[in-house]
Amino acid sequence: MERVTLVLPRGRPWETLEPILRRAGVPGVAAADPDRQLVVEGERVRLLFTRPADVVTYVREGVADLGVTGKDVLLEDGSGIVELLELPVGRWRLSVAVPEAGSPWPELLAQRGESLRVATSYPRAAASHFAARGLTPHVVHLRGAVELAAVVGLADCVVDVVDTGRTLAAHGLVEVERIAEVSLRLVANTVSHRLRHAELDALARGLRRALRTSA
Amino acid sequence: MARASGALDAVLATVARRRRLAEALRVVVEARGYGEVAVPLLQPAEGSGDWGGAYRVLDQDGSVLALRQDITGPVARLCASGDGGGPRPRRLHYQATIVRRLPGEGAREILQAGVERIGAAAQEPAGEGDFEMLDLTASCLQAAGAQRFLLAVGNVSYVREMLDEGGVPAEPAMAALRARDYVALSALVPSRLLAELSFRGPLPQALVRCRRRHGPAARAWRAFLERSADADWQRHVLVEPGLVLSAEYYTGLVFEALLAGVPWPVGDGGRYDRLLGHWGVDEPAVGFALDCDRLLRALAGSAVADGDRRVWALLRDAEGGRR
Repeated sequence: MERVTLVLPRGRPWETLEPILRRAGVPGVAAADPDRQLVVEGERVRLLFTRPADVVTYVREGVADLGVTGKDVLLEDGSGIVELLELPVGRWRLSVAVPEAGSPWPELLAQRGESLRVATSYPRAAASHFAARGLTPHVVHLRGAVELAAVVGLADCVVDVVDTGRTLAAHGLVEVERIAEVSLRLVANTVSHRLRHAELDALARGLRRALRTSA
Repeated sequence: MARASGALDAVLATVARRRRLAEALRVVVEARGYGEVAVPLLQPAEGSGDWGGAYRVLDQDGSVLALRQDITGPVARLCASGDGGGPRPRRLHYQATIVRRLPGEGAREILQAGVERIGAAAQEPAGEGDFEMLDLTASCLQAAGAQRFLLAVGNVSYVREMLDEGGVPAEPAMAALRARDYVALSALVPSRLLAELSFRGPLPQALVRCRRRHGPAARAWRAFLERSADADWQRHVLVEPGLVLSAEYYTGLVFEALLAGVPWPVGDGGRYDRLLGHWGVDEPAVGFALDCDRLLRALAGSAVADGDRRVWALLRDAEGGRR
């Protein structure tokens, strides 16, 4: 049986994910150190570590059979892969936030209309959210620390992943709309999902069991 | 001068590889009675949701035209028009470039080789066209030099019947299946149905599962699978009841061609019995298309893809010498 390649996110998602993968018995996890080693070669499973936003690319291009990334990443660019399983460990939300000191959100939205400026690292998800209410705001694509854009007036509002809301509050921002619940997802390459269904299903079953025992 | 995004240059060996593959596929389909058809590069953009095109242009009268992203729609329109007469089924094949937006890639030029089987003979057994499509796809892949391939097959009417019997609203579930989002699907369907829709397995196993259902679509699907179980390509079939393709015009059989070592399907097809209805004609139809460049990439090193290696080595050397 050929080994399965699993691409995993570094950083905060890894900290959430690591105990679940360990309980599921995924080989190589116990010894993995994503800060120092990007590839862990195992006999049955090969682990790759990358930025959460790049997981989809490795899976879609077939370098990895499976991957784990956040729903926020998938909302932005999740087409062409299979979403297999939600890993409900650590749940966040993709939300709209505005400066607390400014106009209330409904008024701001009415005032700005089409000239609304939205700063975000999720330009497609943000555009799609506003398009659903018939608006095509100017979306400012930033690669991080989007709160700054609202603080210094680059944008009227931000669209970002919110956990406890403490970061927003620290910058004087308040959450006004929830776009989507965000959790980690197990995803698969569309061809591996069929050609290697036995191995992939076995790994997904192990994860389900680990999630049940941790619930 | 820069090349447009997604556009392809092809030189010497690549052009020759494409031509060799095209010829191999042409021989197979023409031997089965398929005649060649060509359709316009530009199509009316209005009312053509599934084949509206990655690029749109205005003509001199201000009408919006789309660069074709699908050949099935234009062939269906042709067959529904005055040019579409003749005995049924009408068997047509094509080799044509389309431009389509692909996940993660943006717009890409795709050289497609495909067939469309429009209409049915008067006394034709049920499922005849579907069987012919899988048989022909397997023959094309074998002629191209593919040995380790699978045809993942599903059936849209069988899925709709399962959803209906389960009391599940069809459209959200179909959208989840189309997006291959089993997390969204799990929130819409009961766990037993989710297990049925998530199944992927060989024909004999699929037949056992399918015997538990008794609706008309299930019976037709079972009969088709039973017939396929006797075909010499049956070992290449992987039954995937939850397979729903992105084009929304499919009404019955759907399938994708998968090759080991290639991360994307190299072709797909299916039954589209209501598409000709857009032009007021009620006729069943079924077809498939192969992505020639993906197929060539998958088959690098095979006789069809590379031909006589000594000749192509010389061509490659010549190409390198000109740089």
